Amino acid sequence: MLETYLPVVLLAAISLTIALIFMTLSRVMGPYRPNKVKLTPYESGMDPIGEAKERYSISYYLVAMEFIVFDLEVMFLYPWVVRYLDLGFATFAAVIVFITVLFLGLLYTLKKGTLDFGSQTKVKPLWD
Amino acid sequence: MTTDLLAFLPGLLTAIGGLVIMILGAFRAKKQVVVPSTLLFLLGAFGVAIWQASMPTSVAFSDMVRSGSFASFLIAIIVFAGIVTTLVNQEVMQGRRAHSPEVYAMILFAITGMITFVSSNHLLLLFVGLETMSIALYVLAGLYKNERHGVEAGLKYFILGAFASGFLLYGMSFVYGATGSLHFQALALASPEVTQTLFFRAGIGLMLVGFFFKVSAVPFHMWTPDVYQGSPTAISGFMSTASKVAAFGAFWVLLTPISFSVDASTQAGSGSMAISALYWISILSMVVGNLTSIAQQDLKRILGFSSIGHAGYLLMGFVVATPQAFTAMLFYLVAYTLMNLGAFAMIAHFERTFGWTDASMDQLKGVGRIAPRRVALLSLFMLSLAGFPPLAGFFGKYLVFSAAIEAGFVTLTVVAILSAIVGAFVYLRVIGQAYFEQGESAESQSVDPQKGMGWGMVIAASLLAAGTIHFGIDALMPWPSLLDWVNGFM
Amino acid sequence: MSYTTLFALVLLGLPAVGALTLGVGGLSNASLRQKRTTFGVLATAAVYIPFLATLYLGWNVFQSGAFTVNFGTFIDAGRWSVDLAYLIDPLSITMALVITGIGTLIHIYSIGYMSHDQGAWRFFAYLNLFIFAMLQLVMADNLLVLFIGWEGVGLASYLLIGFWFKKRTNTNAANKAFIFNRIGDFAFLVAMFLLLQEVGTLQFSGLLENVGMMSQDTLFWVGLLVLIGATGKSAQFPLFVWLPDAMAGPTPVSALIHAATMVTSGLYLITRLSPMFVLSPEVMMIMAVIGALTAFIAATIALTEYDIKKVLAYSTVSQLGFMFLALGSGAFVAAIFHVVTHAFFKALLFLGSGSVIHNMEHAIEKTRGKIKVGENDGATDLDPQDIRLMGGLRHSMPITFRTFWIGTLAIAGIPPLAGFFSKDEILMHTFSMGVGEFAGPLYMVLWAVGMGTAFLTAFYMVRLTATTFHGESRLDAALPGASSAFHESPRTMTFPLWKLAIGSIIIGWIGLPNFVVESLTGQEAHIHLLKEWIYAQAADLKVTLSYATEWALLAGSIVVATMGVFVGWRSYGNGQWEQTDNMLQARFGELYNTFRERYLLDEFYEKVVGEPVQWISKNILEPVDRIGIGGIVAFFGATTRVSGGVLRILQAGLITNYAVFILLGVLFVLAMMILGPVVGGTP
Repeated sequence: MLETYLPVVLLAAISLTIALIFMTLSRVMGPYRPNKVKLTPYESGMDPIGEAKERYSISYYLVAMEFIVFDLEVMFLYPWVVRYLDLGFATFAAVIVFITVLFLGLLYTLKKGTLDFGSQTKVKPLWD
Repeated sequence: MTTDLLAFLPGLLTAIGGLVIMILGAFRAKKQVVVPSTLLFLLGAFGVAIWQASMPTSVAFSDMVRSGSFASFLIAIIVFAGIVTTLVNQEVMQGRRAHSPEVYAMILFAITGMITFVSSNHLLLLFVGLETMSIALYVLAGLYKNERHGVEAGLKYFILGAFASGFLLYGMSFVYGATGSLHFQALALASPEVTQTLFFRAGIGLMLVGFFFKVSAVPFHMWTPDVYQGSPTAISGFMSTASKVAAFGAFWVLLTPISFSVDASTQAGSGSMAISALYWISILSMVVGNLTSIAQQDLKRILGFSSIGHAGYLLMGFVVATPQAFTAMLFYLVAYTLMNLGAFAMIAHFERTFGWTDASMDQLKGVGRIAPRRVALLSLFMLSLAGFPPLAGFFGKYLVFSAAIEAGFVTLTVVAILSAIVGAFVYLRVIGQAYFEQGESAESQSVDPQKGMGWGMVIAASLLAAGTIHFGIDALMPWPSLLDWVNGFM
Repeated sequence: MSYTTLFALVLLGLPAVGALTLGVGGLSNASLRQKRTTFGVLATAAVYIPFLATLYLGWNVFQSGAFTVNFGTFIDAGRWSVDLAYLIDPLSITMALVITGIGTLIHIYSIGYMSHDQGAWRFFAYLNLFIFAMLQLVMADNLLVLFIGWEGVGLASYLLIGFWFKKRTNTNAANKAFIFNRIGDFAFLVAMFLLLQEVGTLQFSGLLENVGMMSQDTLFWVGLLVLIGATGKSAQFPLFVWLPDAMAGPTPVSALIHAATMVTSGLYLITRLSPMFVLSPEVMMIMAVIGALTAFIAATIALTEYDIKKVLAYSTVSQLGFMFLALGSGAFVAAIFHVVTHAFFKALLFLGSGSVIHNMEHAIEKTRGKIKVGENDGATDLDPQDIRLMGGLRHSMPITFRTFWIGTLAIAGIPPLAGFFSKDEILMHTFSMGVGEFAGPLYMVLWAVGMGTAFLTAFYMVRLTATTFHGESRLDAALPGASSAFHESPRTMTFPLWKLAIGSIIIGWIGLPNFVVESLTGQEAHIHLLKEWIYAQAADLKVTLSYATEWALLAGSIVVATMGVFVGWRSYGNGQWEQTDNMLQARFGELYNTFRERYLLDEFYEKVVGEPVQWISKNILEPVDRIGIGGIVAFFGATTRVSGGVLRILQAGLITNYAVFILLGVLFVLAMMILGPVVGGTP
């Protein structure tokens, strides 16, 4: 029973070994001149030190979200493009629907002023 | 292709509707445009669902989607709940800052998710439906983001919902590991050697946990009162009915092979292995739901606990698992949807009319004197929830209990009846509070109590009240009844 | 749906629709309630149209025989089931005609009578409810549907007796009527259970076909229990005490419910089950004794009463006693015949008395308005129903006066008015039983009591009529100038009076005795139309008397009735009630006082039943209830509340707690899934 997991254990062991080798190599061979910026963990360019409940501009996240959405769109479209000729019209229609929905979403965010960085926050007027 | 689309037409209608409303909202459409369009899409979906419900089950999209009979019937209930919620919400949320076109877009998206949920024939699609529904509902629950309970509701629902979804996904992966397929057919057809494995059983159990959370069965119920209290009241009504109908639909496809388009006669289904879990959770739900509701002071929390108790009665249908019990459960779902939506709608109406800041019992004091007819409507729904004949709630309970007795579940039925009696006390207390208590608060309020119900409330309340009364006596009438129709699904 | 079904539906349903419409209409809107005439007209229509439907159905039955109308299964309880079915046969049609016919007239009368009452809407809704229930009772095809009507008329009667519920005595009277009826209802229910157990059906035809299955003992007990039920509803000794008190209701109610229809339902029931009763001579005998006793006791009490409606109430009890005597003598047709004739003349008398009371009330109020406050305080408690204050009304109310006399002569049994024929037939049957084998001497005594009661009936009715209408007005003595305010009642009230008067004269002719013709022609005659009509439903015992005896009895009846009227007129004709009553008291002494005190029956019940029950309730049941049962309830209530509170603590609102519970739940579900099914039931 357990022997079936042997390859997994082997894989883990090998990757651990390689990681250790590289870390040791960099420590041994590379120059070591630390400063404050260099010691900071990567945090998307934000200042990681300070109050936990700090306020950020929401626009930042909105842009990030939209970026992810369209990034993933490409992920979906790429395989389709590769096999485009074999798949035929039905798949084409499906992709058009997909793109339309994404476009509508983009249109919505645009109209709502997601990418409008300059405007001041206003009190939203009552709808009815 | 066309048949595929046709099979999923209700879902398509609500999805397109949601997109349209969203874009309309982006272009600052007036309420006079948004609400009727929402209703138009929903009515279309409702009509299609009713039409499809009279047809036998069929599959579409390479066996991914089911439509017809049972699934379409559940879709019809869900869409009906959406229609009523829209009618009520556009009136009671009027003039609030949270009121925006997106509310209706979210209702439509949530319904799209529910439709996907109940018509899925594949575990992945089921999960997609569940998440579409849940995300829309998280947004709706947190609409009142400037109020303490509003934030609490949205956040709690989101965190715990995600937690439960995790279990569901985990269970799915177990089941996939055991059977090698995500199709429900494959689950149903799995050989005894497979279903006996720990893997498969644990998978089904973890999936059940996800659904238990959605129907707020004890001990996965704790979010329910908090969320119902903090959400806009009409939306609470929607969550307590439509999403539960959807979740019970999911239980159905998971636990009974009957609803698949395969020969059901040889299959015992996964229901039998889950019976003891269902049994105890059903008992826990009705006992805890009804008992805890006694100690509550807030009307929406009372209804929250009441919905937990009702989930217990509905789960009885799966424990008993005879065709009779399933019929009873479907009937009970209809009755529950009608009366619970009605109760929430009336509370929402009172909240607005009398300017309540919360829906506590004390607010209700003396309202029976100011608005006797509207309180009579509320009482009607409360009595139905309590199970008074000849209302729909009574008949639903009667059917479920008699099915249980016939199948030999006497203890379960006795517990159910006892807890129903405890529950009845709570509902009657609400009525008593409204009619027989002297009210200082209601009379001293500056709101004009004569401000009656608008067209939306009138339509919604009369539909619900008529349904609550009608389905109580429907089966006794000479014409074909709902029960006959539901029986046709078996 | 055939026409007959449709008409049956109209007959049975329209009064219910009327009651609902009027009730809901009146409840919903205060200004609508003021349209009293509209309410009255609608209510009348809801009774008159069923009357026409009954005529149609009656014609159908006459043409093609009895039939049943079935509206589906009412109760299906495994081994037995009960249909919501109605039997349309000569007997039920006869009763329905009386109910809807006289009901219509009384509704019309009420439009005038209630025209000043704020609660008229309620009144008419109740009246329609009563008609509905009464029709259920008489049209039912089985005992259970009959029981619905049976309880329904009880309810309507209760509501109407306590109609003016602001007065304490009225509500007490309503309670009394209800409670005394319940005693009978209980017996009736037990009888139904027995029948279900022994025969297995409650349907009349099935029941009567299978009476042979029952042993003599069962027959006796079922008969006795049904009889007790009937004595409650039909106000027989010893349960009749509620009926005189029931006069607290508006007079049209007394006429319709407490004289013409509801109180006859016991008779109807026994007649319906007559094939069963004739098999049990003991029950028949008890029935006859109860009837004769009731007739006599009530008649003697009526002699001494001064309240116009109370006299009529006791006379009703007395006449109902006659009917029971008829049933006990096996004269079921005669009993129904007396029901029909009595319905006419007693309704007439009650409506006449209502007209008188209406007039008196009006005069008292109007005159009192003119008198200065404090000048005549005695006038405040003048009773408009007290015949001692009446007298001389014949001048101011000619129509009421004439019709009242017609009613009096009819009830007294003066030929050819209605009462004569029916009463004569009853007494003849009793006499016939007297010469029979079973308990002959007893029936002879009962016959003698009946004859005596017939005399008393004529006597006290003339006393009532003469004191009310003849002599000089005595109201002036108590309230000067009041008599000038007298006036005849409005047309809506006098119209039914005339109709009922005509009915009281001619309705007796549907039951002309056959032997009159037979003895002349020597051949079998069929001039007793009612007997021809309902003989199939009523298991009449044969009269075995010679024509000569029958003629002699007929003559005897006439002589007794005439004597009663004559003596009554001599004693009271000029308004000399005071002298005559004093003379009677002096002559009969303690006996008269017993009559006056109504045999102390009310006091008897109070002492023997009321007080012990109250003592037990107070000293035994109340502590048991408070400490025992109340304690148990409080215990469960507290337990529930405490456990609710405990569960609430778990619901603290902390999301981490919630997650913990979810995790526990997951473990629980997984355990259950892995352990497999551990509960019973079908897998």
